[in-house]
Amino acid sequence: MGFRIADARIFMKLNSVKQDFWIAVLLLSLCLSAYFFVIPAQVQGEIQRGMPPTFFPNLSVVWIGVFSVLLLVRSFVPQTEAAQESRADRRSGRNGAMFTIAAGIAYLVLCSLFSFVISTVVILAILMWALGERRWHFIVSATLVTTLGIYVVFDWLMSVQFPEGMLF
Amino acid sequence: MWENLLNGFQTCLDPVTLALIVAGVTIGVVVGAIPGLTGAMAIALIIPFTFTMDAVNSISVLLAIYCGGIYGGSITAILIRAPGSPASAATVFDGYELAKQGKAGKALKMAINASVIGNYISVLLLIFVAPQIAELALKLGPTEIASLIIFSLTIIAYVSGASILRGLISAGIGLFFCTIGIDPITATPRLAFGVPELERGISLIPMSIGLFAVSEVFKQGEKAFQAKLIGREATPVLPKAVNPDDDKVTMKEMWASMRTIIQSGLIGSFLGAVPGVGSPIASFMGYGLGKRFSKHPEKYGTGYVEGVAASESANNGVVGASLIPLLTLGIPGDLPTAILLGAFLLHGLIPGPLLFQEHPGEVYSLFAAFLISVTALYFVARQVIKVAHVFTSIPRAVLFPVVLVFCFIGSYAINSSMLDVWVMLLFGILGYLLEKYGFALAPLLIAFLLGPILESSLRQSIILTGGSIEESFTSPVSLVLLILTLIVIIQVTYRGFKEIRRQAR
Repeated sequence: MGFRIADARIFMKLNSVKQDFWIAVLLLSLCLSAYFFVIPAQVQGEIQRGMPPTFFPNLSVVWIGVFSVLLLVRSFVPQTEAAQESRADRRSGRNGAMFTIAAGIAYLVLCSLFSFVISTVVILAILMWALGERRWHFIVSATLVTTLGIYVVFDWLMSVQFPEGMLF
Repeated sequence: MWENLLNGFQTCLDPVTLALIVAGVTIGVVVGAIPGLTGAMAIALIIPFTFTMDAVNSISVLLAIYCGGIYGGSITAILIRAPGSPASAATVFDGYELAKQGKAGKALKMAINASVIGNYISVLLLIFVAPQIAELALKLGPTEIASLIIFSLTIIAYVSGASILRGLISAGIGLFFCTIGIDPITATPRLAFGVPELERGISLIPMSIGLFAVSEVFKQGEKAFQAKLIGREATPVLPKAVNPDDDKVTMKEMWASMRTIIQSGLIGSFLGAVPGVGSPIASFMGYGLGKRFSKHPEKYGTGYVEGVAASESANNGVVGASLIPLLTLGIPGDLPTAILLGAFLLHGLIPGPLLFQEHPGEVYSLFAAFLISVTALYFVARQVIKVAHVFTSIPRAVLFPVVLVFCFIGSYAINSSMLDVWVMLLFGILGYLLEKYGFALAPLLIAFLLGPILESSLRQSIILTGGSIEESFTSPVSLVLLILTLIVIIQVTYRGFKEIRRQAR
């Protein structure tokens, strides 16, 4: 049993080191591509006295780059068990977050394609079900009350034009 | 002055004016509490209804909305981690943590107390030392403002959570995002990728809603699946108060937070008087410096009632102070005061040095109306939070999908633009990932807020001085701020090394 716990600790330590290492590598690659390709291509304008328009975008990228290098170096420093354990359970429940993110993206796409009202009703019902609500009458009433409330407050009172899709 | 002020109170204690003030505060609190809708928006919407009123009634109701709007943002920040306005973003850190511990009532009531005291501080400064503060604020040129912003950036060190290194990376990301849009000096597009809407830059409201509220929805999705994995049922989103003290602010807590409240109120008042700074920056400054000088800095971010007080007193401190440059010099410091300037002009009051001489009656009536608004805020807010408390009994499975829809419409309502909604969603994903991997969100938002002011003031100062940065070291105000910055950097670096050494052991 003792051997297994030690094993798990070594694994967590390696995992944590690996995680910081890969975060730093990802950030550094993004910084390099931003510095050499994205910023030169996307920032134009005359060089003024003092600072060109590229100065601040470059500064921010160099800033991230410098601290990413430090993170890379630090990733090789062994860390306390508490820090490792807090990172150990990050993977569990990841599907739930991915589902919610996908639902968010689907909501925006549906709003552009169909209409705000229909998409809201559909997405609210799906998300409530996915997050564990099983009382269908509760889902229906909460969905309708929310959609109607938003419609009254924003469309009638605040005159906000909802995004229009193919339907209305 | 006292006679004018007494006359002002007599005017404002008229039942119609009083009713208008109470209605204004209520509208402000309710609108401010809805993510995406700000006090400025409410002021703009109500202005047409004030056309037929006299000057005092009209501007009093608008001031009351402004006053209530800043406070209102804290309600949803505390209850559902969705700051109603960017000014309440710093309230999320301790407010939502307290709510998760079943102490939502305590957080909401501390937010009211701190907001009211912060407001009183700034209104009293407005009444008694407005000309002096305006003069001081105007002495800050681009060089001094750049140094002030560089100093303000040091608060990142205090809001970075467990890892300063990750906090600094997070700040770098915020700094990068704030450069998207039009270059402040050459007016050419930067990093807009040919998208015309992106040339406006990234809007603060969708960004802050995404970072805090939408990322929380994703986290709740994760938790619901985790619960399902271990066969647990969906639970109410926020636990109930266990003992009576969890639902109120005790005298001991109030007394212990008083120094922080006054300190933050003064910070907010000073920053409010500097045109262009605004309440979100004041809120973070108040929070950061509150933590810096607190007896228990380690408790900040863990659900510490003093943290709520620090940010709320600071952002409300801006309200009265932002009227200082408006009334004394005719310079609106932020969006709400720019709209208020329009209301002043509409009623024939021209803000500026002559306003106090030509219309003392109206000016002091407005001061009295402001003091009454702050008092009304205390009572109105206590009633509103009773209704808002309903959030605590809604199951998470119902609440968070509704929050997502409100985030959507709140982001969309600002410019009627779907791009803002996509920005909100992308920042939601970014916020979720950053928090998951131990990066604090506050530094990102602080850098995003401070970056544009730093850039334009630094570049302006360099152009004005012919490419030299010498003035930064010869101006006394700038020099003091840079020395303070250096002290903080040395202190933080030392702390960082100690942290690494401790972890290596």
